[in-house]
Amino acid sequence: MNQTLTPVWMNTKRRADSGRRRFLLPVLVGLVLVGLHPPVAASVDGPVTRAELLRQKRLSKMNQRQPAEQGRLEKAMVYIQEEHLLQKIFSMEPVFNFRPKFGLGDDGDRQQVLESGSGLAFGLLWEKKDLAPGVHLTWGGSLSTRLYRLADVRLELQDMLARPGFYSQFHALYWNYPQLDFYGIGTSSREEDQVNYRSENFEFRYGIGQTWANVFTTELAAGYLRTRIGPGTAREHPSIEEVFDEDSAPGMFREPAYYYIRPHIRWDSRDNPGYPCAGTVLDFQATFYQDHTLHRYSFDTYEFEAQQFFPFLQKHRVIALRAKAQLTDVDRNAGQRVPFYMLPYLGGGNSLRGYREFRFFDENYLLFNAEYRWKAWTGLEMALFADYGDVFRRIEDVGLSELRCSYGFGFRFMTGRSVFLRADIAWHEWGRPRVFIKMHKIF
Amino acid sequence: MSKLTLFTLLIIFTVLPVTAEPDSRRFYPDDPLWQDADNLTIPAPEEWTLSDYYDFVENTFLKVGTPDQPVPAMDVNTLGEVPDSSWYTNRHAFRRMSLAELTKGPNTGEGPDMSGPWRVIRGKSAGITPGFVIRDARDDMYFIKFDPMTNPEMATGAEIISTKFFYAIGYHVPENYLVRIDPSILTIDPQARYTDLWGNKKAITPEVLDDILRRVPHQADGRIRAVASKALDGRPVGPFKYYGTRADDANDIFPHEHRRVLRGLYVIAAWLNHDDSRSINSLDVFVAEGDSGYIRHHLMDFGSCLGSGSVRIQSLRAGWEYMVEWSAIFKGIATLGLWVRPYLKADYPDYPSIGRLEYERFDPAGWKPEYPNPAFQNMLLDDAFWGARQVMAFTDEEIAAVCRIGEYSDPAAEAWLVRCLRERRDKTGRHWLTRLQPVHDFAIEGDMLVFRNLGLAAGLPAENLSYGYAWYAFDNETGVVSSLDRRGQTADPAVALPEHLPENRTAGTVAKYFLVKIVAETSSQPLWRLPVSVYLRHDGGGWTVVGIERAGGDIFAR
Repeated sequence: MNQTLTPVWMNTKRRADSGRRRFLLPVLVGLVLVGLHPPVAASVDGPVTRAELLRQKRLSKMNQRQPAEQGRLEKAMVYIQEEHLLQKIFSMEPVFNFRPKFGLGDDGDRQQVLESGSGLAFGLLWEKKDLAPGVHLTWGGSLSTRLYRLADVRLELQDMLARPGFYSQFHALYWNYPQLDFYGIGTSSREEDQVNYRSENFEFRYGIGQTWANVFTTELAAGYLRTRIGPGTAREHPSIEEVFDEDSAPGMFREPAYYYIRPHIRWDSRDNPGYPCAGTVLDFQATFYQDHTLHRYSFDTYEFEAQQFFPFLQKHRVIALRAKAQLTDVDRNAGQRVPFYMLPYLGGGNSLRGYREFRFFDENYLLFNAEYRWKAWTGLEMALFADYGDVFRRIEDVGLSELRCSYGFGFRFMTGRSVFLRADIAWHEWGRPRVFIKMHKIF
Repeated sequence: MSKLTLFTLLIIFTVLPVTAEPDSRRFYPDDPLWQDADNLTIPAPEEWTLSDYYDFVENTFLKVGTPDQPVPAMDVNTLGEVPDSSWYTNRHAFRRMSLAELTKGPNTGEGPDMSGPWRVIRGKSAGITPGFVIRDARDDMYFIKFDPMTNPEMATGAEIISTKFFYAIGYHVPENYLVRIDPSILTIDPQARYTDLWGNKKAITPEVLDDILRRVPHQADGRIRAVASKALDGRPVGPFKYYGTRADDANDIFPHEHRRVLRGLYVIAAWLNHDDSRSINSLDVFVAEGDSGYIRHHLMDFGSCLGSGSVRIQSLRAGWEYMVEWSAIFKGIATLGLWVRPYLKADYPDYPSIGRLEYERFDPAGWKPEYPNPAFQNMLLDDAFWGARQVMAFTDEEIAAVCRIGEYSDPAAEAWLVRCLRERRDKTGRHWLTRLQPVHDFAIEGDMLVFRNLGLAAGLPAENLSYGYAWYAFDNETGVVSSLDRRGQTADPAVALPEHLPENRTAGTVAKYFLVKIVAETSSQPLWRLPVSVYLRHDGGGWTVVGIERAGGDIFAR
């Protein structure tokens, strides 16, 4: 009990201590009488009931009442919340239909991502959905810390001719990547031959397609691609012309322009493309490039990809498998070659992770990725992975024997719907780990 | 003997007993207090805004209100009960409510006037469920909340049912009505605004309203099932926190983390899977009486109870793990996924209208809200016992009756919900009623002190059960306990009152206070040997049970 009210007897005591000793005896008698009184009487000035005790505490607080105060951190967070600052930053509020974007390219699921080796890239995206019913227009540009730049315009028409899933798309791109890596062609190319080059391209593409039940898509696209190659700007490695020539790097400083036709079919039953835990992807795409300027660099490519996701433990564990192959058909007898910068390549954070980006170029490749993924937390997924793959000069050489191997583990940070940051640490030989930080999933 | 010596002796003899502790009484004449008059009028307080983010950071990382040592609950009477107050009203566990009362809950009327029109006056800015605010033809204001498109009946059912339970237990809650809205009765107030994702205030246009309604499930007849939550009487002054007191509320003298009504809420929240039991889902309302008034404290927004996660089904983690729980994260990383979280092994039947709820793996003491709650952290076994008694007060029939008002179209879904709540209730009882001596409900019948074994009522095993007791005189002023040499053993839950009242040694009067310690002896329940001390007051010709104290009740419950 916190009440410290003054009992009656204390006033009497003070008088006794005043030095007037002649009153000592009566005082003592009085004290005795007080002392023999039932103790409860001593606290008659205090609360006599529980209710009164609580009332006195409340009255005491009433006298010390002060406004409710919030600390600085709390005030700051209230401000952040009331102004919706986090939403504005992370959900990229469009301002006059502009919104910021990160990265230069896309990961095959149309997510804007960083191009390998570009450094951090930032840009602006202007997006207008339903410009007219079913018509979406997007355009934007990005610039990276290594001066990679990209600009594109995309016009999509959905549910054309009142047919659900029937669409067409026009896409125009310009990109200029000033220091792409190159190590030579073939699986036996050497790391010490690393050079860099600039690739500047301009492309128009128009496609028309049909999606059935949100799972199966067929598309036919046709396009024009103008290429331009130049010396690389990276100082730490030589530029390509210092090490390679037209024989070892076909198409170097030649600038063919292509018309192409690209049929494409895709089965995609993944549960969540941004962060798949179950489902299947089967994808086939052929591209027939016709060099209409130099007539020396025509070729065809065939790309196959299969993904399968096996979930267990309520999708908190997933076995993810991917197989990819890209085959190139070029009529060497007619003197045709494939420009080195159009060759398929392996290596880096999206393919053979124990090796550097763009480590192996050649006309064909085979790649297998296997991941065991487990959720360590709502926003964090871990993975153990192994990659097998290699490049091949001729289609006849493609085989499963003597594939290169890399392995490692990764951290994947997720929002509810997609991976927004991936850190993979990989080896192809012990002691030389490669670390890849990506802002998108691998598959 | 000198005068000085005589004086000193007299002082020792007379003064010390009086001055030792002027307010050392254990019991006051009005104990046990059943009404805490915390409605002293105060000046109107300012409304304050809670930051969800700060609440999360504060409770997850700053560990506010985290206890160093057990502190007994402060908002209780000498029986360990929570008196009626601005926080709580004793209801079902204190005085059994009829089925009609249980299913009616806090509702005072029939809900909004469904004949229309309903005027949409603003978008719903608080909470995560889609909705808006309307005024009906009677000009009453309601918050309208819907189900997610993927789970018709789920969030509305959870909200309606949980409201009834929380009300029956004694918490102050809003009047929530299950309604079916004909969209044609909706009109838009010209001043109606909503706040978009980025904080911009925008007018509610017919297109905006259509967009909201397009994203919620419609019944076959075109109507939309929703919860109409009536605006609380009074002026909202912000939510309450689960720790500390409100500086501008003189009535708020008990730190919230030391309120049994909030500590014991843990047990109830676990039963109902109310993982969103945090400040954002509370509201203080200033009930004005002229220029002044008092603050009443409410729980609200029960859309994330049972199997519902409000806008989606309850997440797998909900109820099992905090949003950020370092030990689980590190274990998850370090074991390469070989450590399997318990909730991943749980089986949830596919009832879209129920969401994700089960009972087999439910752990009444291991359950967790979204992030640490200081009141829950401070919960002692006594608090948990109180909470468990509230949960155990609901019979099978009552649970079924309350679940019926969810008006689920799938009888199997409703049956599953009823089963889950019954089984979770029983698990709650089995856990908490075996941690302490469970005899309770003490009453005087003739010359006997009778009581009830809540453990038995909960169906706990108790082979060869008997009760041992011993009587003592209790000096209310000094706290001195003296044996009356009256002890014994009985098979019945009843103990004879002392026949001859002993003299009070201090004052020479008839003792007013007595103490009887009771243990339940059974090989099945070792912790039932912990005694419960029951204090009685004899004044005039009558006996009153004035105090209850359970041994072991003052240790942390989790």
